[in-house]
Amino acid sequence: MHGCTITTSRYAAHARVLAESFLAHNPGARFAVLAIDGAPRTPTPDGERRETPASTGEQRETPTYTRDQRETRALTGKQRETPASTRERRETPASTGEQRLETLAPADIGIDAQELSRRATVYPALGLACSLKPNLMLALLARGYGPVLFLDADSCVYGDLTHVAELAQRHSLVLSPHSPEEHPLWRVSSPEQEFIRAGVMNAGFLGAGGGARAFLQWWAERTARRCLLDAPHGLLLDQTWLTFAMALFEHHVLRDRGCNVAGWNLHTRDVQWEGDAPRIDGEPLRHFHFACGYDPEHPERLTAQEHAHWWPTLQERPGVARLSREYAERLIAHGHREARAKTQAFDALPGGGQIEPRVRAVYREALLEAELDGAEEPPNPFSDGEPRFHEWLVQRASEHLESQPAAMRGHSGEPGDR
Amino acid sequence: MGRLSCGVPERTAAMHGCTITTSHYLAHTRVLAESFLARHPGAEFSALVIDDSPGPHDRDEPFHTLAPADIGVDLPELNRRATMYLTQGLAVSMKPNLLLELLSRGDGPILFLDADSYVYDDLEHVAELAQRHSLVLSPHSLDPYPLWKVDGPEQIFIRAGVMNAGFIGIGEGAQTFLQWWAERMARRCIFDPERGLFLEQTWLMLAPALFEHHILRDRGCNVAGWNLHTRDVQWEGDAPTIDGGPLRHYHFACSYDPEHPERLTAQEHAHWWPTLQERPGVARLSREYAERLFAHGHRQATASPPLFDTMPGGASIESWMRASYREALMAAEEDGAEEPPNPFSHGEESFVRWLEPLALERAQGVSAEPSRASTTTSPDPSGAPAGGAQESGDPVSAQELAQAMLETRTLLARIRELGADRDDTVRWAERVTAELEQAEGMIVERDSSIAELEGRREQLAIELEHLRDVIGEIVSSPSWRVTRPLRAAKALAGRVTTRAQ
Repeated sequence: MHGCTITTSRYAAHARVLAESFLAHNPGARFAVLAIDGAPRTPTPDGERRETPASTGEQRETPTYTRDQRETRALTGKQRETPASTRERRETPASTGEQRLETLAPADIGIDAQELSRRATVYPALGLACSLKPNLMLALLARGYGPVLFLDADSCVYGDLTHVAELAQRHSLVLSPHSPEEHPLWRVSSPEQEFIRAGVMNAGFLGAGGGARAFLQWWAERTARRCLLDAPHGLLLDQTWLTFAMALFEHHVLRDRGCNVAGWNLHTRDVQWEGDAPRIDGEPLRHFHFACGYDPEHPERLTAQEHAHWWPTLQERPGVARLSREYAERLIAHGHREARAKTQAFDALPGGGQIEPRVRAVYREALLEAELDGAEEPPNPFSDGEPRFHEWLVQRASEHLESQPAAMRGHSGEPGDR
Repeated sequence: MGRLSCGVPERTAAMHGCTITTSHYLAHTRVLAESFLARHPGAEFSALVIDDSPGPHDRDEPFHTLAPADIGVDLPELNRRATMYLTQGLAVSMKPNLLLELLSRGDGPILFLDADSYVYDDLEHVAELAQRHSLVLSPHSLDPYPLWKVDGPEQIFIRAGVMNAGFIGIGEGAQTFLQWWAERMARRCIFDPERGLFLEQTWLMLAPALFEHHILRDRGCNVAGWNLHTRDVQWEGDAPTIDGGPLRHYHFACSYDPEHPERLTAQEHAHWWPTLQERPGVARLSREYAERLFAHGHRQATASPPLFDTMPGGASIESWMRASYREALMAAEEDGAEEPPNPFSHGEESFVRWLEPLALERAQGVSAEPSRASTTTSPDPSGAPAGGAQESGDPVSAQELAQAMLETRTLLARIRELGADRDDTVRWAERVTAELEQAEGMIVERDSSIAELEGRREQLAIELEHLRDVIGEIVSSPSWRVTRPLRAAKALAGRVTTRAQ
């Protein structure tokens, strides 16, 4: 089993805690962290990773990157992977001498610098991270360490997850619903309606076996340009696509009550403690998802996000409250405050400015025109520099502006058409 | 084949097909029931007719007719739903109730098929899957769709429901699912995409998370315009096939009109379906289906008006009335208060009286709108000049400039929109003013003619008085009295001549 997650340097502590907890409870497994603002791995002497583009490293000689290279070394413990061919690994997964935790950069999963720059212009950091999920899972499947289990970086493993890997092996794809139980109805909206809109299956807990390649390729094609928050068009990042995947691909809906436990499915239950062992619904708690902006500086609440107003509070769930206190301590002990002090990579331009949402939308529109209609690819600030990007932006904006008065004339000229 | 060897009980043969219909769609229902029964000897077919009126279907129907009362929806509840929902919503809101009723009879698996569909081949394997997995769901498509720049069919189904509600298999064990669904259908079977609702259909997306189910991947079932993007129906003589297997069931969804068999639908949202010119195999299917509908009385059925679209007196129930009623009903049920009146149970008059204050509120809201709009029409113009005033060499200001330009674009569009709204309002005001002026003119005219008539009446009264005096004078004069015998003789002579004639 190959566990994995995606993170930015600001969430490095989260990724460390997750990786550590996963490896501690799943001794035979490996774990990979995709650091989206991380440096690509140095090619190993046997040329195994020769596809890692050296050019990416050159282009990315920025202070952020040196910082992140340090990050990578800290995460991997400066160890080098034991040279072994992919085929041999398949025979002897996770042999004892092998390093079980590794950090990957986008270049390591087939996302070159140009494509990363495009996505960093289309998406803010969260969308960028989610958009790479299918690519990461495809790359790890190709490595041949068995089924791949994706876990959101803001989650923690408390037990064995081997059965999920087995289900992934058998059914290709394992999906985890936000709630295995119905929710009460409200007058206007209600949690079930929110899941209909936001995705019935949670994208923070996914299992993929060898048969999931077709699904992952389909998903990758969609998240490349359509990993947006755009509810009127049915999009909530990578997540709502999973609802459609149910129609197209062989899958298994996980009904393990101890997995993907989170604020949105605590309405009927609490975590119970048997000494130091957390349990839920009479089974071991295997995985808790501290989703929706959990803040270890405020362990007394699961989230402060308005849309989650209906979650039970930690005063009402003392078992989860203990989980929260312990998790907060672990995050802080693993360098959460230092990580948070960093600026979020990709949310800002290389020069430090912000990319406004409308500017992202205009760039995305032009990029889709280029890819679907064969128009010229628009410049982006990361590959082509900010001056060229801004020049292009002003030009595009004025083109749109020029077309506007004509449209107005056309409209007011025909009052009878309404 | 292999039914007994699979260990499935013999009673699987007693598969029960069903649909929901109105008297308008009776021809569809007959055609569907006959096609289902022809391929499943020994099976039964039931139709819930929501406006079961005695007239249109006195003849022997090929299906068992059920009324809402037969499936546990009594008249007061039917009337509530008829006030909240349009006919289609009303019909589909009772789907779980119908399935629960048929399931409680215990005659084996049930297959729900939309009334506008047709069975071309055996569906027994679906019944077997329903028996094994309790619930069989049919996705709108089994193949990916091409991606568009904005939106796309996959995104449309993410919003409208990935599983189609027009083809459902139900077996033993589906009660908990059906009860859950029925609870939601009672008050939440509406079209409200902002709250994730598309009638009964979007709820089905949650079912895989909550209930034991099977997703049907049979390429010959629930074939419809929305999943023809990769394929066409092929004909082997008179037997239709698709994707190399038999065509089992075709769904003529989205207002197929047999008067226009040359197209599958005229609905705008289905603009991306392939045309029948591009799918000649389906075109033949369409021609044959249209003929069957006519042969089964389609024109007679559609001649009667749909029953629940208006109040009993014929006034239409507008969407805001339905929404206000639904809101009030839900509030009353939650708080244990008295339910609001509806036109079917309590009469049109009490419903309209109940609506009056809401209508007034609404009218005030509408008249208040122009003033709200005018505050948005005077935008803060400082944004654009401020961006432009900054040094043009500064890259951040360039982005701000672009941003400001784009915002200007949005603003211009909004101004245009508001301008159009204002033009409409002005035109409306002009029309109303003209009507008022005309009415005023008429009032003035009428007033003056009343005064004129009054004068004339007075004048006539004086004349009358004067004439009376003159007559009095004449009668009392001596010559009048002297000539009396002469006048009597003349009258007598006149009577004699008239009799002689």
